[in-house]
Amino acid sequence: MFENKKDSQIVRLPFGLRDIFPFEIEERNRIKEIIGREFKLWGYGEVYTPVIEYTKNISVGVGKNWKDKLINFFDIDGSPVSLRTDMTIPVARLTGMRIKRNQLPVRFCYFADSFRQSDIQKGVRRVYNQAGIEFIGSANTLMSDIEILIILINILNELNLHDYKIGLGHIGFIEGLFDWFELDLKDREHIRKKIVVKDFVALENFLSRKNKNKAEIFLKLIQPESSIEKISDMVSGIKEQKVTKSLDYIKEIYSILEGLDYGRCLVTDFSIIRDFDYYTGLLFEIYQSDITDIIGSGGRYDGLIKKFGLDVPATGFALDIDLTHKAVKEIELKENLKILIKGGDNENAVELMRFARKLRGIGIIVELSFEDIHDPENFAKEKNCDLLVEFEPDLNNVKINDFKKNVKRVKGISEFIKEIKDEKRN
Amino acid sequence: MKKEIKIAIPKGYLFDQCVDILKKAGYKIEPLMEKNRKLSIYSGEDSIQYIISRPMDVPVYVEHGACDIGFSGKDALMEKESNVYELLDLKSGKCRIILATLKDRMEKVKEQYRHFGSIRVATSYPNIAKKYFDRKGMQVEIIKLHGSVELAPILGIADEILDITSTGKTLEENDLMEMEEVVVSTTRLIANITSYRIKYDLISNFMNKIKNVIK
Repeated sequence: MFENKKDSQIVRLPFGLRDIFPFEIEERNRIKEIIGREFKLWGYGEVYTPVIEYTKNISVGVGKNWKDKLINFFDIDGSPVSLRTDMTIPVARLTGMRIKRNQLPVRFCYFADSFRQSDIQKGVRRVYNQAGIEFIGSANTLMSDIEILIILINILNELNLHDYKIGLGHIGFIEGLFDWFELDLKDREHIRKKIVVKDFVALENFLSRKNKNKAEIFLKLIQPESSIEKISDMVSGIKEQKVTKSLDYIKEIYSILEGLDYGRCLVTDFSIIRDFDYYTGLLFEIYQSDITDIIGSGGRYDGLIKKFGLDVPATGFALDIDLTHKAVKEIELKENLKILIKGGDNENAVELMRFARKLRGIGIIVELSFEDIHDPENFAKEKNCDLLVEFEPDLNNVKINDFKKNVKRVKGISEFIKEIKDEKRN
Repeated sequence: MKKEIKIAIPKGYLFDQCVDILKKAGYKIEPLMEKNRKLSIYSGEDSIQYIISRPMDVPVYVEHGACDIGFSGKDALMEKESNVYELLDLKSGKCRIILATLKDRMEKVKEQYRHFGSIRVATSYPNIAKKYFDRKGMQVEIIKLHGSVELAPILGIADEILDITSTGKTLEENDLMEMEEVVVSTTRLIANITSYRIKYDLISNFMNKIKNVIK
């Protein structure tokens, strides 16, 4: 519908950004509506924050690779400012700035664009439209994590997403394995990086030099595994408290979600870690077989908000709307009847607007055409209209061209409105 | 879900080695050996779709999910910095990325760096080159070429080259001499991040078979 025109002047956009047209927006809005409904039903209140933040705030606690993703500017006083790269940090900042302890816990949700620098050679987008929630300040770690996971699963089911998987990981597990390996800080950092870049070859080489037997177990433990019992068996020899505690935590999540019949989509994968220092517990990612990227992710970040002055636990997730949209096979759009009314003389403006108002009052989409169109029928069809309506000279009757039924007729105005009302009711 | 797996195989000098490993691992390789120019080959017996691609494109295909897994040189992975899982070192397809210059210009290049504080390097690996010189704190100008990089110093458009070598024969024939080794590359088994989770049973099965035949 919106192809490039051959004769148009070439106007460019910065790479990795794009325009979105009504057809796509309509589908996206429907998806957001489904997501937003679930958020609302659990009591999440929507927040919106500025697109621009101080660089020092937006990059708090993030790794070097992530810092490279900031799109930076200078404020008029020379302070570096950046476009937000996600909504978790702005919401944490907002909470630290404005929320008092006695207001906790708070539940926030958002729909927002975030921006990340990318490589022109890879041609990757630089804008990410996300929907997400942050559940902040609940003392009950397990139940708050469970709550957000259920919300997530409800949404994915509601969107009719087939064969999706949620990979569950836990920072404590990996840290426990580091303890078990007796690694120093430098080695831990090295391994963390290798896991973040998913280089298991380098990881194996490094760990094997330290301890070949342990290395083998380590690598087995960070593979995807849907059976939690198998992992239990594998760690039975590891007496590290962090390992057993975090595995028990994942087990509890499994058992509650399985009790709710939500267990099928779960995979345990302790290689899920992130390049941020504020993630503290559960981490998860969402995969769908047709989409080659992670369509959403989340986790517990108890360490973040204290960087903004309020030491409280928090958990949340974000879904990528572009990827979610691609993953959703069929979107049921609410089909409103659409009518094109050909305007005619300006002298009849009052009658025309009154007539259109009545139709809109019963939920009909009415597009007005004031122009002198060569082929109104074709024009109306191209605009996806169901009917083309035109005043008769007496202004009491209208000429109706019904494309669906393929009939043309003349009817009194009030009669026509009544007819449409009845049709809508059926 | 389809029980089928898509594998990207690099053409060129890595092709035979990859096919050899597949054969040893018990996969049917006849479909791959047919003398035609097909780039997409289905092996019904093993339920594998093979995609034959340029070595540099293997990580790209896998990252974007056109293939679930692939065989890629470490050099291509380092250059592309693709977001893929690097699962296994096949320990074959060994080659080295080195820095070289014309035999009789060695001293001159060093002299020039002292004098001008910068040299020109021709390479097909601009990303690896940039990272390497950044780490050394050296200022260089990088010229990207799509092959026959050895020509660059001869034609005088670069002082040094950063290129791949396995036997050193091409270097020798073009009067070039190795100055430094940048990195050693071998073939790796890589996986798409979603396939790795969604098709893990298929991928790990494949990986284990390959693991058993590599030394």
